[in-house]
Amino acid sequence: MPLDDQTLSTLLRLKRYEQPPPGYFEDFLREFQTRQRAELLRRPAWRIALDRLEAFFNQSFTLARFTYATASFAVLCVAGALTFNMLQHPGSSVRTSAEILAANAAHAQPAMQIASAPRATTINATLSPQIRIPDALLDSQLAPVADGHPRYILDTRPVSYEPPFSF
Amino acid sequence: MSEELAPNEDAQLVARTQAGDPAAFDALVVKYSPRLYGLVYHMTSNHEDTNDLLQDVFAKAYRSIGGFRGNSAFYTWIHSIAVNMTINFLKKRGRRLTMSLDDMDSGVEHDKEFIELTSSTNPVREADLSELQIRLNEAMMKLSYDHRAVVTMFDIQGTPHAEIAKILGISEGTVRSRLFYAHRQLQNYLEEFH
Repeated sequence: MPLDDQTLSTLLRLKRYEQPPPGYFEDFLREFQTRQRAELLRRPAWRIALDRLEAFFNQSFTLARFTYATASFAVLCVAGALTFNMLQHPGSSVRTSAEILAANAAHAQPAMQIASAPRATTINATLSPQIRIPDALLDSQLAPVADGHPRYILDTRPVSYEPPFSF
Repeated sequence: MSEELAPNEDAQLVARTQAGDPAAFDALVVKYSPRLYGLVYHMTSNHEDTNDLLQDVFAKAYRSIGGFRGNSAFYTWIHSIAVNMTINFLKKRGRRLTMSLDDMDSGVEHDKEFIELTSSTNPVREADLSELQIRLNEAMMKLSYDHRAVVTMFDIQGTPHAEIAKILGISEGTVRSRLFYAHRQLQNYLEEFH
């Protein structure tokens, strides 16, 4: 014969009379306070900070959600910007020596034209406004043309490369 | 349920605790320890484990109370901590059965339902009520932790479905279905004895 619902409920309700030894709850608070003090003496600062952080995130569900969303959005933005930059300038970050040489060769052609042009050259290509290059600059940047081939002055160094002898 | 009828009092005690008054938290400990003891005790069936767990529950609550924003009642919040910590403890402990529930409070003899159950007209009397209680405790320990928590809160402590749902973070429907399933299981366990 199965135990009916009513009897089962009654038996379960009677379990509330299962109580701890007399005086237990009076001692419980004292034990709690003692443990608390002992724990405070034992706990390192990082553990306390971690608990507070955990409690903060556990309680502030909304804030936590926003924090994670904002952090994720920021990471995505940075990743997107980097990807976009790399797509706009492919290979801009690393250039081989061959590429550098090719780039130099490409720049050599207008230099030759400038060098072969008369002094106080005015460059009037498709660009506007007109760019007037001073003679002094032309003298310092370009070597005289020999046999129709431009030559760069290789031993010219920027001022910043000079060793700082004086402080 | 007196705890649920005085949420303002709890809110004041919580605010005072958050402001750095430890005596206010002591008042919360005094107020909730008997009820939480029952909750943990009927889930673990062991007095020593219950004592340790209850200390840990209040310690955790004290550490975390700074972050308690009052989105739920303190009653619900502290019960959630107790249930979660007890279930985690039981998972770690495994299926070790520790029965120490043989000390009934003398108040049971004056309980109306007890008198009715042990009356000469009730068949339960012949089956020896104390033996039936022991079997019931064993059967309780065979329930899953989630089912045991629901039975403890509803059948033993008289917590309403809605409050259990809030504490466990589940729907009232789930509470009812867990109760139904747990009752069937308990009846099956007790059937052969009865």
